[in-house]
Amino acid sequence: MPRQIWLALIALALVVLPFGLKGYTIYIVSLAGANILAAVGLNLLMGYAGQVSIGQAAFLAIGGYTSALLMTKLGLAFWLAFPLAGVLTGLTGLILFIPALRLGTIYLAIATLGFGAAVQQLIPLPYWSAILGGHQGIKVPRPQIGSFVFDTDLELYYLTLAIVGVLLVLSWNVARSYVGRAFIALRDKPAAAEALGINPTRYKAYAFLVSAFLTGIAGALQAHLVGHISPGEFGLGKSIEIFAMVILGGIGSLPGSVLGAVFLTFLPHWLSEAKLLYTFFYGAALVLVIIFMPYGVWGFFLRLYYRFPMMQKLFPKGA
Amino acid sequence: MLALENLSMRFGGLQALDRVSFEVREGEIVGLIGPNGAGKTTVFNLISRFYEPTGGRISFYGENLLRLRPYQIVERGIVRTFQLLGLFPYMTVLENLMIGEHRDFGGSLLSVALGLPRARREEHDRRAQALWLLRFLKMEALADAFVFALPYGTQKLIELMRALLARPRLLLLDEPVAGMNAAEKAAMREFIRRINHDWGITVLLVEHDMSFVMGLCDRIVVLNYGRVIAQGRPEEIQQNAEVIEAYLGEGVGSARA
Repeated sequence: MPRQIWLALIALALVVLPFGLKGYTIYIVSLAGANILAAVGLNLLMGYAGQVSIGQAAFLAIGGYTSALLMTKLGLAFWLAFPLAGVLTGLTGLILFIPALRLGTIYLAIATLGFGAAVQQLIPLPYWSAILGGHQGIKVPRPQIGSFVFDTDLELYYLTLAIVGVLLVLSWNVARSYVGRAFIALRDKPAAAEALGINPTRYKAYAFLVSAFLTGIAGALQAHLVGHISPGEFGLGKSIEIFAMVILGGIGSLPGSVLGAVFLTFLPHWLSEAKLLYTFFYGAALVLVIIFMPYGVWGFFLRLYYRFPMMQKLFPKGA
Repeated sequence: MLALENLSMRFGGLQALDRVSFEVREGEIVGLIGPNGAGKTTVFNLISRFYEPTGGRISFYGENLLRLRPYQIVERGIVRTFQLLGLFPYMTVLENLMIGEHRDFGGSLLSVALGLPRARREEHDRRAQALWLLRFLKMEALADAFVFALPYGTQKLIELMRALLARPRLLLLDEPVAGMNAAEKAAMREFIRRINHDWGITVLLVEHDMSFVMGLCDRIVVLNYGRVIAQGRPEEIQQNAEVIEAYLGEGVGSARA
């Protein structure tokens, strides 16, 4: 079957999906949508452009707080505040781009770690607690377009579906364009890339801009879904979770990031019975994937695809 | 078109290049030869602006190249290949070729993300151009193959095609036939001749294979220990006592082909 049909089927399945689900599960699916954007944002930065970041939670926080404050303090409408939060977060991504120009992979990872920690520590400081709400955080208004308020889990789900769908298309466009190719070229052979006219400064800036934008949108979406935002959500643990989503799904593969994000969003809920063992299972899942699927879940599917002719009949190549 | 004047390069205590001067004129095929460690690749890396020379100047049509960054060199019409392959292993042949066309892409990040008509058209046209070149060389079957899976000689050829798609006026080839068999070498020689003759591209190449260099180049520059010890037509170089001595029986004379 050609790709268009598959995409249409997936879209249809996602539209009817909530009708078999409980309200709470629908809510978790929506949160998975936010995580998808964060994972795709990190994958473009890390998998494509080769810039490792373990401070992505900072961009989630910036996006979430910005969208909330633009609505509550400046009185902007949701449809304006929400994308603007993404753009402003994208610009803060350029803060990390500056050390990235000089630092090698592992040092950049440490710099981003520091950035993540700094943002989380800065938010609850007393100087601006009147605005940012200190450790307790602030309430985030429900999304509203015109007079329509997205209030129920179902309404929020469809809003999330639309936002995530549009941004996945945009991310896919970038990844498949000359910009995405320039990212990979600079990652694999910087000298050859530069000799062919790829300006490393410009494309590193693009990578951080795009990544921080998507993560900012993810943070804003999450904040509006939850209805509340506080600094406690954005620690190192969250950054590592996003990192793990990318690794699990397959580094350098956008469909992989979608799978990784969905899986790691649901894992804690599946394991909630095993409260104390949760971290154990979480760690075990990661280790197993790294051992048995070195190219991530998506890479694993691709290998099955090439091994079994039946798969190739079902999903023809290039479709 | 390209002029090196008193170019020097020092790595710590090693004088890699010592006041090297030579010119490449429009339409020529110039060979840069010399024993291992003579400084040939260093010359390329200086022209590509990967290194900052410790002395001298490089000009291209009178413009001082030392003022440019490496990624700006290609915009002036100088494109290079690499001794140990500069292909991107996890990209397909077609994607690699389209990196060669990078300078012809101008769509903004936003127009690319939104998939605006201009960005789509640009992608479509560049793809068509790369496919045209593949078909021209009867290699269209390789378009979607991953580069790392291809034979070395084919990879060398693809790197050269990629360089051509960057629309060079001057092409720098670093050991274009290293590791190739006789038939591949002959094909490569013919291809370089056509690039030079039919497409009017000037070529400066580094190569160890003497018969290849002697049979292809209009002029040869010989480096030894970072100095130019001779330059001239292949016949002149083959007679040059200093060159023969530098190669110590490596057989410049016997390579007369």
